[in-house]
Amino acid sequence: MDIDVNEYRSVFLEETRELIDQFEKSLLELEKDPNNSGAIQSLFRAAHTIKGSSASLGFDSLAKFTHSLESLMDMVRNSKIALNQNIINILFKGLDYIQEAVDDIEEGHNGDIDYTDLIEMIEKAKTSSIELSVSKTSSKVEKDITRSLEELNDIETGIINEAFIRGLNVFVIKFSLSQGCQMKYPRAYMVLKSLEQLGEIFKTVPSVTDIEQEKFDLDLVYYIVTKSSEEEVKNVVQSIAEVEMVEVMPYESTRTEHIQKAVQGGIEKDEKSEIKVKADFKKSQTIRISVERLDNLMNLVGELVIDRTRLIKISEDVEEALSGSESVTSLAEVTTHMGRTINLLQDEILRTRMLPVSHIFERFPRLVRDLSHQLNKQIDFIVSGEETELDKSIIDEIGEPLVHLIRNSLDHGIELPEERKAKGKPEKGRLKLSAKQEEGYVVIQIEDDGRGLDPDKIREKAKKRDIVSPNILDQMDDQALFELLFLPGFSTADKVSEVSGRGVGLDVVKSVVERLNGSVSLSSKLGEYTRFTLKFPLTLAIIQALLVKVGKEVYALPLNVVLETRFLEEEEVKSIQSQQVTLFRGEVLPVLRLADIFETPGKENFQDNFLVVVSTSDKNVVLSVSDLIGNSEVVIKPLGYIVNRVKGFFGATILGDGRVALIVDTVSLMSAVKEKNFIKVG
Amino acid sequence: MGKDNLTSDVYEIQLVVFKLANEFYGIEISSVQEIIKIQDITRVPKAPDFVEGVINLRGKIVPIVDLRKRFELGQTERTKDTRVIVVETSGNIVGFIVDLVTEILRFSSDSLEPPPPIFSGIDAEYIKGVAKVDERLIVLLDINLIFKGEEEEGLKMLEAGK
Repeated sequence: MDIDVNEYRSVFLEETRELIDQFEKSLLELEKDPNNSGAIQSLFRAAHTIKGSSASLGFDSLAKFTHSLESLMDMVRNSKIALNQNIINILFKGLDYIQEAVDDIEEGHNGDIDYTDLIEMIEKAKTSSIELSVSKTSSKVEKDITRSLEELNDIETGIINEAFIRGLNVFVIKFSLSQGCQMKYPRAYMVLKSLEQLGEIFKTVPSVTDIEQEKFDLDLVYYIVTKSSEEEVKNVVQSIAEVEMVEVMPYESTRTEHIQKAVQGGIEKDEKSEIKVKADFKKSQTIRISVERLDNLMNLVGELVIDRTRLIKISEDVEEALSGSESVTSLAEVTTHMGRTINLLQDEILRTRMLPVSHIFERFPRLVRDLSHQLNKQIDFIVSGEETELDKSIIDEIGEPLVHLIRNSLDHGIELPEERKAKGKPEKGRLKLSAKQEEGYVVIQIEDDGRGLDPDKIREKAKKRDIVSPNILDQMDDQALFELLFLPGFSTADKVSEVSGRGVGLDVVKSVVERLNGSVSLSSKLGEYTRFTLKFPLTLAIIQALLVKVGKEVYALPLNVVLETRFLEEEEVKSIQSQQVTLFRGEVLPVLRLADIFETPGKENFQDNFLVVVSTSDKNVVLSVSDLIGNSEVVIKPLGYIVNRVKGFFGATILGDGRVALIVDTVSLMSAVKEKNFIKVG
Repeated sequence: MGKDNLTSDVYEIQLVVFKLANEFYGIEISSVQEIIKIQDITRVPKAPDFVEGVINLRGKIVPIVDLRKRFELGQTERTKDTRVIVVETSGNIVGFIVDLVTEILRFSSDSLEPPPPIFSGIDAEYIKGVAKVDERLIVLLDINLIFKGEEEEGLKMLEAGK
């Protein structure tokens, strides 16, 4: 068979990276629970597939290497050697090597990296446990002989139990290859591969290794867990050339017994392999679309959203002018219906751009494992809500900030085991990473049960740094003090442990999050916990905004930076050294007139009636505006050529009446204001 | 761009001709997207002086430049003849406010003469050439260059020239 390597290389890379992820996940599970038979099964499968596909593309050294990993795992699986930390470490290292080889292949090489040291370690691990295997040999042989079709081991019965609980089908597929079949293994492999599109093959007779070495006559039996029907399974197998006498039977014989067992065993048993089965189903139902195409769709929908807003307004106007007419009523009906449809369309398109946060969460268990080993800390890392979805553009950006926060927690938040013990806490620290959707936002939290933050130390530090004036500092409550940690350069230079180690680059975290129209907050209790809460809009292209009037002009303020709006009462605004200020939550904030900053024509001729408190990168600021229009969902459009270099805006949006309103970027606006020495801030 | 080859060197040029102050100017038709009437313009605070603001052109935000201001010929008065020529230059869309769009002209490239060093205060670098058509002098503008200066020297140069 001729294979054009280049054509398959990218498929290989993509598939192998997925398998590497699976490998890593299972390995972490196995490390936690060495008796997790599902995990070792999944490890074995991943290695096996990598071996097969790399061999078929001619990446021989990678294939050879994964083969030796696989044989090690095979010994573990068959209890020939005991699973210990040494073997886990070898497997982790092996995973890194595979990763390295895949990177090498991606760069256009052959994945020929130096595996010798690890292969040696593997061989050593195999032989060192040989005594164990000798003592077990006799029973092993016996087992092989007695293993009939109905005889399934614990893992296999486990899989079947689970399948029944979840309402999936289990089929026993018997088939034969035709007489004189020249390529027995490739045919058997093709059947296996096509069946994997439908579900999970959890057992074959003879074993996969024997099939590979063509140690079988012509008859084969596969066991599959699948959503598909008997008919579908049969069709798939029959579609493969040189396959004859296909027989698909439901695995029913001992079903009731299995259900009973399963109920006794508890339903929560091995959730992970359940997810695995689910993931396999998903795979066959997706197609890959370029992000660019989705962006285009997104833009078109944005247009429709604008038109919807306009149409609703026009329809209202017409209704007012010609109320009572029948056609006006139907116009209103059609408009409403179309508006609803466009809403749905918008939701769907937004959804296509969404990815589960597992895309980034996946790499953290390994990070936590490696870091905790390095720091000699014991960590229980709990991840939840991985399936929560976020816009791809946000997913692409938040990896680094999260890594940062996790590092912080591990490094400075969670104490060493001795220290925890002394404090009466469990020796094992707990780090929780969670994601969930909440009213149009996605909330990601990172929480540790470590030292917590010490408000007094932060206050002390802020005094030393001269960041906030001492009398304000004394008035600040804990929450306000914690917010100081997000200021640029708050504790970058010093040894971080001084303020429980927080503050390192938190300003960077904050700026990335805010650039994505998100927000970050922090709560903590000394000696108990520290929790970071990141909040993101579901998508970047459409945001909630507060529309304000400055004279006749309309501007949009992203709602995520608006802290409060209030009616402007003269006595609340005071003048200090020609700078207007007001009190907000006990803090003195500068009041800036937007009409002044924007040099609005005729600004002397109108009054400001409202104050809007907004957050900027370093300090909250109060903006005064002439009027508030209200909240609205706005589509962000890029400002065109030349204009996009003007500071203070990150785009524009089109209002219901077709006019353009600029969307204010408070962060860049304030820095522009400061540069020009318009006013002193803080 | 618009090279309908007649012979090897001579080709036909099609221009959108418009008036600024009392002069006639032309932009090659291939870079003109459309010509629209002036509409509601949203001012952009702190934008360069010649940028009038932005408009909504079928859902796209398009910046509007007053060409008179750009060439320091004063400000364009808004009349019923005032038009916005929407042009596309290297992927960017910009609208130019002009006094009046007169016609679309075709002529052969060999009637194009090199620009004089200074022409009504417009820097020669923005001018591709000058054509004489029916006793009228039409200045062919190079739109790419009009903004290239912006990109490189930035707005400083402009402010210094004020």
